[in-house]
Amino acid sequence: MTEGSAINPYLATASLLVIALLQTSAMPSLSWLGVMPDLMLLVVVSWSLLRGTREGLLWALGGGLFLDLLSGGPFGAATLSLALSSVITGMGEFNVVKDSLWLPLASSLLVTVVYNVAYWGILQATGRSLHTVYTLLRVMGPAIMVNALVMYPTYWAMRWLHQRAS
Amino acid sequence: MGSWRSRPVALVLILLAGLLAGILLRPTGYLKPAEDVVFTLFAPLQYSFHWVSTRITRGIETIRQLGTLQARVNELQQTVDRLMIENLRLREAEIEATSLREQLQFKLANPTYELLAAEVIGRDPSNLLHYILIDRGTEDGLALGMPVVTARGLVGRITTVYPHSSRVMLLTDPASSVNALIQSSRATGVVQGQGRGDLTLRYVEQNEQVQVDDIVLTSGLAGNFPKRLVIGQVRTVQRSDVEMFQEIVVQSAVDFDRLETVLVLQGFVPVD
Repeated sequence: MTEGSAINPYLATASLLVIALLQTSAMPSLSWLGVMPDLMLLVVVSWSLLRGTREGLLWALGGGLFLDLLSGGPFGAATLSLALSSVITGMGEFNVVKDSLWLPLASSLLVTVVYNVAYWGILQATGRSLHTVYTLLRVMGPAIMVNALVMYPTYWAMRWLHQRAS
Repeated sequence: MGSWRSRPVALVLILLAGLLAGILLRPTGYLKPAEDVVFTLFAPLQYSFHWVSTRITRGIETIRQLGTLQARVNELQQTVDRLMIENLRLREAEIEATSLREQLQFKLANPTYELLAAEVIGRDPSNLLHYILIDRGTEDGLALGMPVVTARGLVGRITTVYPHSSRVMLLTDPASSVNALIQSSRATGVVQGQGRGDLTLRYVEQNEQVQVDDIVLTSGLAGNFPKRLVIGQVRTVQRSDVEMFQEIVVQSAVDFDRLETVLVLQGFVPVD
């Protein structure tokens, strides 16, 4: 993907803060089987697809820090998981058909798995024993579904922002 | 024979005779067969005329009201909108009233507890963690470790406290553990979160009698929670000869996904 001119850092920070607050306040109302959409993850992935890995990674780090501030989990878990998801999206960018209608959907499926496995790994490493198979399936299965549903509106919103910023 | 027009007197006489016959015969019932024939023949026609005339009347009425019709529609639409909003507001008020009634009953049943109601204002951004954010903090007298409950049972405890908000770790979080006992057998154990809806009661020895539907309460051991708070009910019990402890799944009556208002036990100071 072509990288446009860098977005205003104040606008980016404000956007990420709003997204983080939406993630904790509005997204639970869109829960399915007790699992809410990972809005920040979808925003970061969309931005990576639209603006390239470098900017995507910056958004992952910024958004991850906001999520970690709002989370009761180990600090850095969200940042690292988002960064990994962003990098993997960037790697896949060269191997798939660009501008494909399926690209956002395929990306959301991939990064939902990557993000949750990475987060789960960090929780395990920091001494929180999660019921492995059950938790991953119980969380990841519905998460794949809800993230796929929310991906397109998110991607279109980010594309609008990308076009305004370019 | 001449036309009827040429003999008006005869016609009038016949009609008068008919009228007289009708007046005389109707009370006696002799006119009924003739009336039946007339009504049988005329009824469909009468119905058709009535149908047409009604439609015409309505049509004329509609045309007459056409000027005011749009205003009437707008007025009715406004009424519908107002009633819908009122209905939603009443439904919300009903839900809130039910919740407050439950909280009041809990407070009346537990007069020794000093309770503070708090609204849930957020949840943890990760689906793998089970925390909520409430709208009360140090400014309201909250402190670290205070237990959080609803009328249905224990919810969790405060893990981080800010001036105007606090973070509460739910019982379902994998890092949560509460010392518990079975109400009927007094067997003790530790209730742990599993990162899912139900909870696990661990460290209950194999020789302890535990039945499905037994009530699980806080034991008060370790001083992290007060005694006798309801945690949930035993859902399944697994005993094994090769294991030292039973594997017990506990179902909480609290719907952790739909928490809106909670109560903080302010009076309780946890021992850490």
